[in-house]
Amino acid sequence: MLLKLDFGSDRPIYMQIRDQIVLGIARGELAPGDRLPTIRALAEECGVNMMTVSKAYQLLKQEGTITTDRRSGAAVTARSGSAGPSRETVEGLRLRLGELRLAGLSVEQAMELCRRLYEEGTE
Amino acid sequence: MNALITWGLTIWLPILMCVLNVNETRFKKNLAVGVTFPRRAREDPAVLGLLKGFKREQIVLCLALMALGVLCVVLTWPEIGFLAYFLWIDLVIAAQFVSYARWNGKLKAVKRERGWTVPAVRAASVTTAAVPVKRPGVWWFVAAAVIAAVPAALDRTLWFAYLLDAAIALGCWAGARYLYRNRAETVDENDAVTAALTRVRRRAWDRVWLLCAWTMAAVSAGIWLSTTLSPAGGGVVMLLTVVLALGVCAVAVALEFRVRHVQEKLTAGSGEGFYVDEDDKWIFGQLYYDPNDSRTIINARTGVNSTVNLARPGGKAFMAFALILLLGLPVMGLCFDAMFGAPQPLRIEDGTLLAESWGKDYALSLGDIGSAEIIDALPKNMVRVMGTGADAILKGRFSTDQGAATLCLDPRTGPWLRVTMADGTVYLLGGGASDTEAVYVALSGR
Repeated sequence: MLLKLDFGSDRPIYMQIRDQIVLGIARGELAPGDRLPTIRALAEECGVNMMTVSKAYQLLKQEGTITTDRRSGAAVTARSGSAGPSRETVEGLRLRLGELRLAGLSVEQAMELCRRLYEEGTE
Repeated sequence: MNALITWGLTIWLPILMCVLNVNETRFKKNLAVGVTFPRRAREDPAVLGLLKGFKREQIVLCLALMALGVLCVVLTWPEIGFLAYFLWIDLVIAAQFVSYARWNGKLKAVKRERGWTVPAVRAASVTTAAVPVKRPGVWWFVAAAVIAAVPAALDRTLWFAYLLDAAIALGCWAGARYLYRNRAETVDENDAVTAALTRVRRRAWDRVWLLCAWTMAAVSAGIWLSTTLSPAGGGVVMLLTVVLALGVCAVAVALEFRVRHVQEKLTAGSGEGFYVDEDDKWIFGQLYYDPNDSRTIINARTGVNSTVNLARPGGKAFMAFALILLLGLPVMGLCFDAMFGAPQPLRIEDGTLLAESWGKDYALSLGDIGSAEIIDALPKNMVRVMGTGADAILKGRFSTDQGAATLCLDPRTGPWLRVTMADGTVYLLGGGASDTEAVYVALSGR
């Protein structure tokens, strides 16, 4: 799985790392139980400070996407799927759907767009 | 003779640089002469034409620099030999750099014209970074260092050389560990290729350093053996060191080409869809500058080598040091010419016999001199213990078939002055332009 970091973007690097790991899991590039690099190794790989990677991992851990262990490092969480989306995800989705509505999309068009993006993530 | 050895050790430099640069015209990791291209560029007539031109220029440059080097050897300027030599080395490096930068610029212009520039993103392979890295343990290097150091306990004369070898062997561990950036060799989204490229590069890097460490152990053991078996075998020591050094260089170059070949083969199908393009970070295709990269040590784009990030303070300091070293080479040449030039003529001043040479003066009080004699032939089997040995000067402590002696003489032409001090210390002085006989007469008449 490849991270593509854009240093010219307004989105902080730790958020880009977090976003792309989430998308990687959604696309199946990272399976539940897969090991993630150590903070040091990923920082070396990305050419960023260890604090940046640590922040991304903390966020992913809080969201329940990964688990961390002092000895075995970080790994993708094996989710049951019954937990449902977090409150932040629902609020985020609400905001994005609002933006689509303002952009003039009908419910059908917005749903179609959601379906396409959802399927892209699971291909 | 010394000049021939010096030139012989480096005269192949333009050939090596030429071969490495010509190899840069072969697409590997989507790169040619430091420019990233999509796959379709490999059939583009403009790109192919420029690559051909670059190749031709490298060959012409190589021949011209070699001819200049040979000319310097043939003309053998005794007074400015080292100056000429170091100026030539600077010229070889500068000519190669400028030529590469020029053609890199031309290729980048074609890339821009064709609209092949892609948005700059930093690609990082999570999959490869998650795999634990296996590196050779420090004990492999410590063992080499111990073997290099052991002769220091057995032979106190050359203890410094043995300990230096041991220190270099340990330094090889530091080099292997800290001069390499543990980053995946990402070319595109193919994880298998990334993993293979990374593995090949790491292995080659570790092997070179390990080989260096064990070569130091071999040099140390070899010096000890040759001096033990043949105490007058100074030439054997030198030959051994040169042969082993050349051997390491040959293996390192072979590994570099092996890795380049693998990089070429594994990425032959790359360049479609997403591919890594970091051209904007590489000035002239050779100097890395990325303020967003927190690392100082950077892996070179092709082959095994490492370089530095000029945006980091450490990178700037390293480059400044390298520049000072390069620009200082001619100054060093002038110093060497003085150091290895013939000694000053002998003279007597204020009751003292003076034998002077760059960096070392011998002042022998006339009152302490026991006897002096003129000799027309130097002792045989003169082996340097500590000091300088060159075509025009022998200076320092030497062992000879007539016992230990301190030398400051021009060995090319005699006669020489043999001075035995009251305490038994023997000095061999004069030769060359020295009016040794006149000094001898003055000494005899005292």
